Amino acid sequence: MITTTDDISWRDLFEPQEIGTTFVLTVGNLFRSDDGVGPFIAKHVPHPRGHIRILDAGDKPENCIDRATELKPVRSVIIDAADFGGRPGEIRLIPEEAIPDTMLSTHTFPLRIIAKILAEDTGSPVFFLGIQPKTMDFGEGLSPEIRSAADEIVRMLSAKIQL
Amino acid sequence: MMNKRNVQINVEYLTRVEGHGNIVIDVKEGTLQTCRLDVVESPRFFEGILRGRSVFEAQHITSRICGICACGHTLASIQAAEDALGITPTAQTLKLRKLLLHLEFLDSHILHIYLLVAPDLLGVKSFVPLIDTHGKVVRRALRLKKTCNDLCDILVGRHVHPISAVVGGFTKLPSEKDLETMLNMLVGMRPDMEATVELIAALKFPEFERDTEYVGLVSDDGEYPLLTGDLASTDGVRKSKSEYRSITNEFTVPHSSAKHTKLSRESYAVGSLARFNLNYEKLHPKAKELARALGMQPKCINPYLNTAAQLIESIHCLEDAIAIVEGLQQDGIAHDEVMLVGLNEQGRIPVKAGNGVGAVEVPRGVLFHNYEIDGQGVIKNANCIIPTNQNLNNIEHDMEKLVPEILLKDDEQITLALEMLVRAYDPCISCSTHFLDVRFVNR
Repeated sequence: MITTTDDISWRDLFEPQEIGTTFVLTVGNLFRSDDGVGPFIAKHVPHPRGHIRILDAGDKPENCIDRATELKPVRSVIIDAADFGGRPGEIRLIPEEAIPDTMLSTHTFPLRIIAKILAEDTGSPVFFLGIQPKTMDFGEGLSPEIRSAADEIVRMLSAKIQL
Repeated sequence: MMNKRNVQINVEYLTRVEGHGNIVIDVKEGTLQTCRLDVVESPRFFEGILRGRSVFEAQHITSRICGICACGHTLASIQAAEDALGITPTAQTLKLRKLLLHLEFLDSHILHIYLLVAPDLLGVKSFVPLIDTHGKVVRRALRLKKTCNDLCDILVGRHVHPISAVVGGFTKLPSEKDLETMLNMLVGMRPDMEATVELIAALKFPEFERDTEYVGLVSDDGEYPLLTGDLASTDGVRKSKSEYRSITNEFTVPHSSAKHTKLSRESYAVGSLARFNLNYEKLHPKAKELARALGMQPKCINPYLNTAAQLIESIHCLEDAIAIVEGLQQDGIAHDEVMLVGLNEQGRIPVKAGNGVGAVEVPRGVLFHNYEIDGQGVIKNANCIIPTNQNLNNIEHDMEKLVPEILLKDDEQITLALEMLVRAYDPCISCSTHFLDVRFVNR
């Protein structure tokens, strides 16, 4: 199942589980400004190990399902830029029904399908962690607000890896 | 009377096309007043970006025009550069390039068939609900697409935006193990492709016909021409690729930021259906067998059947890709052909001023790149004409004929028919300049 609850904070997502791995899948395009926030996070978390495994899928998340299934995670978190009408850099857990059926690009598999297959194949819950972008225009580098949010997630992930 | 009504329909942000455009329809008292496909994307100025850059890096820049036709842009770019430099690629290089193109055709066609067209034919709004109702179909699409991506990774070093395909050849050639892996993966796609054929053969495409001119590559050899040959049309035109401007005859229209094209008639079409109509006899026997089973023969003038032509081409590409890999295994790879050229800092490739044209069939039709370079291999001028640009005018003329034929339908049905028509062309409006809205103005 794809999971979200009102009681869970995104910070709780990376707490060590009693048994098993938390699989973090980052998604995005480094050449579409703030859409690159996912890959930025994957790149800046030092030596993911222990209970957290990070895989950057870039703009091809459909190619990473097998790898996720091999890891047999007890939880998966998909990190991506998401326009939920928040303030730039706001971090929010996105409910499944809020993920649009349409695709960022028509030539990419819909993330909602990737998440459903990921949930079915791993038999574990999948969470969407969205970061509100400021711009998705062509260009490299993150807006300051999005960089700040990315840094916060990187700090959180890095700290949890040390546990 | 129903057909004397006024019709005003606006469909904004038409989904399942790549990029941003609007369809505007205005019917007054049963008479079509306005019928436009507005392309409202900003130009992307790739030709401007190329100016002043080395022709040896052009393929890496132009690959970024499109995430799905990245290999096609790469190959058209390399072909234009080689034409300007006077380089003739080796037979092995041509085989590997053709293999790369087959992988891109398979990837692109499979995605269009499953993600963009199948929802219409299965009566759902998008591909996503199919995960609950047609789980096997979704997983099959995913599996096929992933295989194409992985094959591309093996052949040219990346899932998209090839890195090893360069002017003069390849910086890395496949090992024997790579060939064996690719062959197993390609052969492994056959059952999924057979299931795809079964799925699509059971679906009903809309009935609509408009005779138009179809344009694509033709050749005098036995090969289904994708990389080599002349430009030709179903109206009897045949010209060298160097004369591409007199094929496209580009012109501007006020409602589109993408240029339109025409040849012998008011419009022409490129893409799978054009290739099918021009080169049917050269398709792989299995592809021709499928065409017969689908009841298709040239000249097919139902634009909705471009999707069926894509399926036929997919079978051709898969079988020809298998044959290419088997041939390479049999002949062995000549690894001394590895081409480490970079920006040609070592002067490995002799450089001269020149003007070169690349004409390559890519999933949506024939693609042109034209570079003028100086004596140092620096691009002075560049021109890229992509397939979607060439189809926009033809889509508008299709709509002009279609709308009066379906005026008795309700607005929702008319809108769906128009959306499906545009989607059938698999337009990549992002490449031509990005999304689609349909607007009707009272019938």
